[in-house]
Amino acid sequence: MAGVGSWEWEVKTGAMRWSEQMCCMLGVATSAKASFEALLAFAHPDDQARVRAQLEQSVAENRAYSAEFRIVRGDGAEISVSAYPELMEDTGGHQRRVTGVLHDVTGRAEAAERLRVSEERFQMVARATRDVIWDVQLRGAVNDVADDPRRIGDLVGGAEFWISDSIRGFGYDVAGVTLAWLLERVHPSDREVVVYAIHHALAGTGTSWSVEYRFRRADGSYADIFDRAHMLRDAKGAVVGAIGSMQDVSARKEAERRQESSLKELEEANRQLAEFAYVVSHDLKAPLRGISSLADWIVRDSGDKLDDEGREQLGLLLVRVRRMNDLVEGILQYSRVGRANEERSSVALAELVPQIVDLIGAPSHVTVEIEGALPVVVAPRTQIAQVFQNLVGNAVKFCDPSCGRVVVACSERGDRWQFEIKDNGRGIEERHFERIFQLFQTLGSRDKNGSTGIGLTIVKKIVESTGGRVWLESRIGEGSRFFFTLPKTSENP
Amino acid sequence: MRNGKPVLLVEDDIVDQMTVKRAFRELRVTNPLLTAENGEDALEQLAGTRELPCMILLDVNMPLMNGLELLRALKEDERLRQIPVVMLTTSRDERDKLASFASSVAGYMIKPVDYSQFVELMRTVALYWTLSEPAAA
Repeated sequence: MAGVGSWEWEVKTGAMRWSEQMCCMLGVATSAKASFEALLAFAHPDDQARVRAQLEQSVAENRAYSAEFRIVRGDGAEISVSAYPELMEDTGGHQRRVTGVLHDVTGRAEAAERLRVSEERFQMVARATRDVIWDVQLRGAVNDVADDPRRIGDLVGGAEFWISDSIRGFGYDVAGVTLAWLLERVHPSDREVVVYAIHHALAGTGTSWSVEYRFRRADGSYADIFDRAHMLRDAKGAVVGAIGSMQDVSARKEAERRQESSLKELEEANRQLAEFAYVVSHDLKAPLRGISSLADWIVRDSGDKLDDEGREQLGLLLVRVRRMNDLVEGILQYSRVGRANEERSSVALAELVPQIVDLIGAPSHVTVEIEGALPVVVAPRTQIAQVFQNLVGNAVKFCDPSCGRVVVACSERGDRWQFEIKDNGRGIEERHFERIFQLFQTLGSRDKNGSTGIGLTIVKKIVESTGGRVWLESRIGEGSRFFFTLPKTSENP
Repeated sequence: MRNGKPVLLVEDDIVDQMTVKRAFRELRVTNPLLTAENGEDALEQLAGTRELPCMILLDVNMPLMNGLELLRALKEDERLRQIPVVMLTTSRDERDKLASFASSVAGYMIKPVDYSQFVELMRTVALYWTLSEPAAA
């Protein structure tokens, strides 16, 4: 393989000798005749004149020199070499010999080219990414500074610093950006953390480093930065520099902050619900208790004046009052628990739904029909009861006032059941589709229709917490169809 | 209740008033039962009477002046603060309970929906205040 070849040239006799490695480098047989002209002939045609002139000049002036030129090998390949001829005098003082070493530097030139390409690529990357790339080379006594975070300023001042064009994204010009300048723009409250992180990196042994801080833009606003770096260490492990990137994570942070505020709003809504439930428990339970007492007294005081039918009806009334009371308690519990921790159990809807329809007690002009079979679902029982109670209750309340018709149906949709509660009421405009699921939102006067605006909110909460979805289809004059889904499995969503 | 003094019921719901009256009758409690419809009404009645009730049964949720407000007003009044007050309410709310006890309530009873359970509750209250020494003879 090519690497280093040596040759010897007697200026006086013109005799030339070269090593086997030379032959190798030139790509000729070792038996080939060596001569100065032969050697020169290998030089690239464009370089030949220069090489000859340089050599002749050095012989004439009697001084050493070095030259770089291209060689066209015997096999036609082109390589780059550097020559270091040395001139030697014999004892006579003028008989000279030139010995030389030829280095194949083709790799070096290629490496330089590779470096140029790599540098260009890096510049492209630095330009393409929105991250700000920075590079710092430290000078001075790092170990000293590493012991004392307060002296980091000294280190920063003496550092050689480079930063990518992306700094313009913060409204700054690249010119004049130093590490100290950068640190000054870190939010005062975060500066200590950053300085500590730098100190930690200097004092430690790791190579990766990261810190989060707020960075002041040119307009005075602050960006959230995630700064990540790779520490360069010398053989002793001391930091000699670092290369890193400042990533603008403001959008992500902002999203996090928004999420946090949505969470707060959600908690506020939950609190409102609990508050409302508390009031409702009073307002609903007081009249219920009254109904219960009055029915009880009629049975006690005038039971003998009633016939069997009357007594049975009063008995039914009392049962309903108690059931109603349970439901009110359920609402209370639901709002208290908030996250609805009721245990899931097998609920036979074919039994539950007729009970609920019965409890709702539709007026005589309304028919409630259950179409087809209803499945057994694994769900929190009282909550599912509440969903049907509210949806069927609404349908009964808002269906056609002269000839109301409500249909409850269920169909299978892959891994879920889809339920439908259909009425023949006046329908709901599409612009209200979202509103009606919001807390305390009603479409008519509360006095008139007795709505609290809580029913559908609870439906949505329960259905979604069970892993399902609730929505509606409706057109004015064509009635409304409320749909909700429940997963078939008992697994948590 | 042993001294035969009246009991004041502060309650806005007529059926709830009837419930207490009926329970008294059923339990043969002979103390006269006076009724006020809200806190303000109760304070007026108490201001205009020489004979203070031996007990006040107090609802929480009432118009104009609610039970908790009346309770506080009673406890701030030299003359009225000695009257034992028993809350008779629907509210299971912890805040109402804590506020009542913070204002030295003598008892806190949740009204049952079922009438016969209500009678049992009143039996216990009446029995307690028959055994307990009254504040004033």
